[in-house]
Amino acid sequence: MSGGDEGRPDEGLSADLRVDLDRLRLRLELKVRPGGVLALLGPNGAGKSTALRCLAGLRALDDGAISLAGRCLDDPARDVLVPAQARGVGMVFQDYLLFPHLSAVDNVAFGLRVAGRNRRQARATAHDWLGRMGLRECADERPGALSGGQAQRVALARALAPEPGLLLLDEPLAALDAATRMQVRSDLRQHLSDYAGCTVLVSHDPLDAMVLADELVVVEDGISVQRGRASEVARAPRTDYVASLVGLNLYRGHSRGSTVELVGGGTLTPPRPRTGRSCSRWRRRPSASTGSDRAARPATPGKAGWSGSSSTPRPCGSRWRAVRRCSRTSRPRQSPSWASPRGHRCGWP
Amino acid sequence: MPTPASRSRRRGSRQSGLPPALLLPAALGLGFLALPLLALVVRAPWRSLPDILVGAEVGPALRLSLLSATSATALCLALGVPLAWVLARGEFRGRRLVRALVTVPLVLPPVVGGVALLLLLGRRGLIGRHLEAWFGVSLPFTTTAVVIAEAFVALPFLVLAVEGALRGSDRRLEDAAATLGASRLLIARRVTLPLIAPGIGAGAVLCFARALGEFGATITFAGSFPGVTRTMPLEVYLALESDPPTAVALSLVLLAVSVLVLVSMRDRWLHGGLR
Repeated sequence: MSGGDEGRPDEGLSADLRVDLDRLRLRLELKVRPGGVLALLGPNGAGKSTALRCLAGLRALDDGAISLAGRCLDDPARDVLVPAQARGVGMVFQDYLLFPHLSAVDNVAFGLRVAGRNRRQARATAHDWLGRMGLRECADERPGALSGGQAQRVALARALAPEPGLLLLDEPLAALDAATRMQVRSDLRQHLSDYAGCTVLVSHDPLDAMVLADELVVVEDGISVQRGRASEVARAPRTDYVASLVGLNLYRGHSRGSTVELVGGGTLTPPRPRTGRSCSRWRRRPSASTGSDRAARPATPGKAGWSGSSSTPRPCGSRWRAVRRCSRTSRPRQSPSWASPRGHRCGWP
Repeated sequence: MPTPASRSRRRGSRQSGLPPALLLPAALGLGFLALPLLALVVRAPWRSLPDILVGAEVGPALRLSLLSATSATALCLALGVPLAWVLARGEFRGRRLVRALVTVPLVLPPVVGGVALLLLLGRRGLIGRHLEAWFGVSLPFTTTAVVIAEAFVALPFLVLAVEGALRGSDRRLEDAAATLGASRLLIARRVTLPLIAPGIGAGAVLCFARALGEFGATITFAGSFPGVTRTMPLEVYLALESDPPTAVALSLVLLAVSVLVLVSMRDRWLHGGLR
């Protein structure tokens, strides 16, 4: 696992989620240090939301364990199951699930009231939270009168007000339109960086996940297929899904010393000769191809793929030139040089 | 999202899609329902109405009816909301059987219900026998019996309305409340109950209306003693033989109450609560 500083095992969140559903076997290990933000990224039905419900205590594990700040929350082997209401976990649901019969401020105050604070104190704290979210003027509105962005912030304030040790965000931006989404995303990033507890968020949007999270765990069919920092995942996608997610195409081939023969035909020359592994995966930005089917590409001599994190190769005399693009992936550490199957050399400008 | 224009266009096309052959039976159906009520209003002894309404029989009957229907509604609320909750949220074997049992009084002839109550709570009934022996309590032919008979007939209305409201309410809101630290009871009290309040209100109104009009079970189980068990419907039936104008006047009062009930339901509909 990458991501480095996970802290001591008794700090933060440590979870080994094992759930058997009808169509899905969830096997997911997660570790989040205090203050860290982990994103579960994956297609629908991959088990992300189930994982989140397990962490929240809305679903019991079949096996494995969850511990938060050294406290065991769920461990079927030891017959421990802390119910949701006793976990100290805040959750922001995909469509926010604000209580429609309560005003915004009473929604935020709900968790505080439940924790035993009196009405006046709870409302005062709730007003503070709404102020922090820039929603002071919406305090007395019912959820039905709030815009999507406002409702999202009320939901966040409601989840954070009882000061949970773990914050769970289920597709926090999915219900927003594109215009508000960008603003809410950067606000959310800000609030998450202010938050001292652990955060786990679920998203199917790589951009949301990469902006909001320190570490990504890509989930497919209930298991983690790749994890690491956003930039690492984007630079070296390990499955087709991850590659298409981060805007790269993936080619499989067999390493033959300094070249790689692609499965669908054509060869590639990697920046560094690869040995030892019989199968390498190659990636190429789909933007480099103009409208042609990526599956057909490797089979077309002279047009086959190329590696490099963020390049748009163009023919340049007898050479291919890869232009570095400003994109959400970072540039490779070394300037790679490689060949198209026809033998054209490619290089960074 | 449909614009207002497109929505109205769709509504227009829906109207024009109505087959004309349906219009005649539809009008007949409406008349079938509305004309008897019209006859009641037209033939009512409007001039003597004030005198009849303050007359000796009407006052006690009206008071008894309101009292017993209100008590029956309260009893139904106390028993029916938990029952509906169990039906909507409980996961146990035989739930369908329980729901069928709850629905039986809805389709059972009320007279049969009255006989059944008599066999359970009557002086020689399964339970009534012991009530009589141990506590000296005899239920039949008392106002309590009226309340029990009305509640028996009206309870399914409340249970079904509340169960529907519970099924329609978003359970994930309860999840959200749980993540905020609320216990189950607190969630029920602070989240679920307020959310289904319109459904409970609608169920209570239906329940009240049904209890107010109860005849068969009441006359069978509670009899017809003036001031004690003779509710409005019984009074109407008995007066029709001896004093038709009084019967019509009483019917008008019951019709007015029904209209009031409808109007109160309509208010709930306008608030979008009743589903």
